[in-house]
Amino acid sequence: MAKVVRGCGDGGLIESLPQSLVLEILGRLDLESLCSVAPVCKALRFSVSQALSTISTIDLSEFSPTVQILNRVLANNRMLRSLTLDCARLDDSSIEVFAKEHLQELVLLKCFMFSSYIFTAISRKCPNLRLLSLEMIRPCELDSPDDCNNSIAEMLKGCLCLESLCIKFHVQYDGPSDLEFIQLILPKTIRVLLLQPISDWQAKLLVLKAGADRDSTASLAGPGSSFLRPNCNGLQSLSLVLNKIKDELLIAVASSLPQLVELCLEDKPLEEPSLHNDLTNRGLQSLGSCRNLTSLSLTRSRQNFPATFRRVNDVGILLLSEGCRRLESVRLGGFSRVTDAGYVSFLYSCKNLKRFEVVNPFFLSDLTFHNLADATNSLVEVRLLSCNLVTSETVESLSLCRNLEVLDLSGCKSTADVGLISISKLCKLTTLDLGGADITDSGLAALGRGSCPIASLCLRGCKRITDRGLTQLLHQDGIIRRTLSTLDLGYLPGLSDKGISIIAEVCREITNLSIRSCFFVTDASITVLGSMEGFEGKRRPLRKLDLYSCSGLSNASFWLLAPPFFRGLRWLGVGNTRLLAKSKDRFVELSRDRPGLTICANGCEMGCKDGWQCHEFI
Amino acid sequence: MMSLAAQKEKKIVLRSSDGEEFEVEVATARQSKMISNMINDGCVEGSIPLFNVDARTLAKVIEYCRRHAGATRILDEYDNPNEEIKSWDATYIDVHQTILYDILQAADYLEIKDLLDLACEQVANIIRGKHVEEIRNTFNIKNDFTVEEEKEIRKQHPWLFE
Repeated sequence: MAKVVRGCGDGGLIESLPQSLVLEILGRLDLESLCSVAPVCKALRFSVSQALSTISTIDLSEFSPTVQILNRVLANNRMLRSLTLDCARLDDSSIEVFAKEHLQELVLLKCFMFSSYIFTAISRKCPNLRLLSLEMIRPCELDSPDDCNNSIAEMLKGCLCLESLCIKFHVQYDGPSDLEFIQLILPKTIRVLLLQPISDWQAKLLVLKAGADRDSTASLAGPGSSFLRPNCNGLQSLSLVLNKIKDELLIAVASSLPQLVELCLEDKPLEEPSLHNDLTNRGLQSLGSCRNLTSLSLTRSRQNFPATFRRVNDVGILLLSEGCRRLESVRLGGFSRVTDAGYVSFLYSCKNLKRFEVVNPFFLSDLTFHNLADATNSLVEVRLLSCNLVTSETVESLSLCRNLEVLDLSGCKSTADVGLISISKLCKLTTLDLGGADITDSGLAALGRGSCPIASLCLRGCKRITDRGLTQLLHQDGIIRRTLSTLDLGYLPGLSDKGISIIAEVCREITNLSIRSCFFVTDASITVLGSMEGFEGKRRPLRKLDLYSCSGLSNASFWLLAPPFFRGLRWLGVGNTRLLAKSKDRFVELSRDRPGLTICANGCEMGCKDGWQCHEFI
Repeated sequence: MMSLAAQKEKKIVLRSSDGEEFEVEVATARQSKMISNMINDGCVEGSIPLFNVDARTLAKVIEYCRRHAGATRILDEYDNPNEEIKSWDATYIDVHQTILYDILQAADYLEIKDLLDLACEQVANIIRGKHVEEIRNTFNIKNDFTVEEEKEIRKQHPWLFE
């Protein structure tokens, strides 16, 4: 092969670099880009196979590989230490492929088709595992809950170095019956634990046992752990999803695990919890003795029943925040009787509060944020979900937090343009969610003129927004057109093809786009979005596209979604469209031809992060 | 070891492969681990010949070293000097491919780790998100697989050829 002489013209240069430098460059690429380099030429294919065989960390969470693809990537690798895998297309037979002996961290997402054999297999094949995280469906038919608990127990006996264990079972119906809760005996090595679902009495036993273990091994001072505080024994991070949070559990946590750094409890009651048995101020007060606590999340989910913590009021929250002054992250959900006086106590007591999240509060208003004190400098992330009393005044107060990176106000319907004008000067803000806010085009214009480097923006359901607002948001000299990668424009009656074509034209970095339930979007939008790469190299290809319920799309738009358009698309939501109704077979074919593409016909949010357990993919 | 003040004033001469000489401050030269070692070993009398770096590349590399040694530091207009240097780096490395490869190899040879990182990251950035054919076009690489091999590869990596 005639190599082009260096410095003359501009041909074949990358081939003339020394191998070590080529590997240095390839080592910086994500797996997908790396694989795209392999078929370019022989020299690069060789380099890529070398790079693949020595790669130690692989993240395949944004892409569901088939077992063939997985095998191609992992076959010659002997160095793999950390693997994150979307398992939607994998079953028990793939375990052989990915369960490598030297693995220390294994994260398995969307395990659709795995049986509890996975636990047994892991204990045999990966004895060095430090971290294991599994997200599964409770296999009701394949094996009994008892078998499952036994397999987990067996795994814990095999993996002696396990420090972090996370097992999430998604149940497909209202709630688990008593038998189907996870039961396990916690090994002493565990520092980080997440279990879902677990019953309240199992949880209490687990906590008491962990406390007793800690006392008995305290004198031995175990070997250095790579997680959290190496010198501290016993459980440091505990996350549980239960049927019911009771005082007893919190008191057990406080007395048995005073060294706890992270605590995250969520319950999903099936019925209204009886008053004499529910969480009270006393339970919260007891948590105050966990003085090392930096992260606390207490939520009551309304998934099964619209229940709230009815016996907790401001006093409980005050006592809690008085005790846990080191808290850096607070998340509260379902505290229906707590008012501003309670919420504000965190902002005053916790001098290093970075993350503050409140979900569904009845009585949180602008007063909470009236004077942010020290929190002005420390707050990095604020999420106020469905806070009906919060108005633009809160947004204005938060605009003083110079370090704010994430602001989520979804469902705060009373926020308006004035708020946008004030936050537009936050120069670290990368994530902004304004779902359902009462904002207009002039608010977007203000944001467009501002200096927020927003990467993820949600304007879902902001009904007064039109194409004009989008144009102003993405105007020529603004920063947002260069930084935006995820955009949610769902449920916008004012959005039409014109708005979409502006996005396709100017947003270079955009990879995820949701236009669900935008009725005025037609085939013309699909045409401009699909041919985005037509502008050669100027913009990234779309990865995820949500077209759920876009009733303006015709049956013919199927051909605009098929190759050669939308190259590189990884996820497509087409539920509830004419398109799907008429061309279901064609979608099945498309899915077969494009193993990299997941097609969701169910109306999940982008990527089927929640909801994957409830449906089959096309 | 020389005092810091003395170091600042002292200059050394670097000679490119095509014979051009560049006088640079010691602090600037020390950005290169290779030259820094030579200075420590006391072998910098006269000029240091750099056989693998031509004048055009050397000038560009020195520009980087100066900036990072703080020799030509202008007053910060930003709050955060890190941000400022990042944006300077981004502009600096946004060059034609030919020059980029020259910088890459020079940084490797002279052992300037930060510059090597910057250049590698830039090449990686060019590759990211591109399709096989786009990579070939961008880097002007000839497809040297036979038709059969190409077929086999497509079979092995179906998701790359969608």
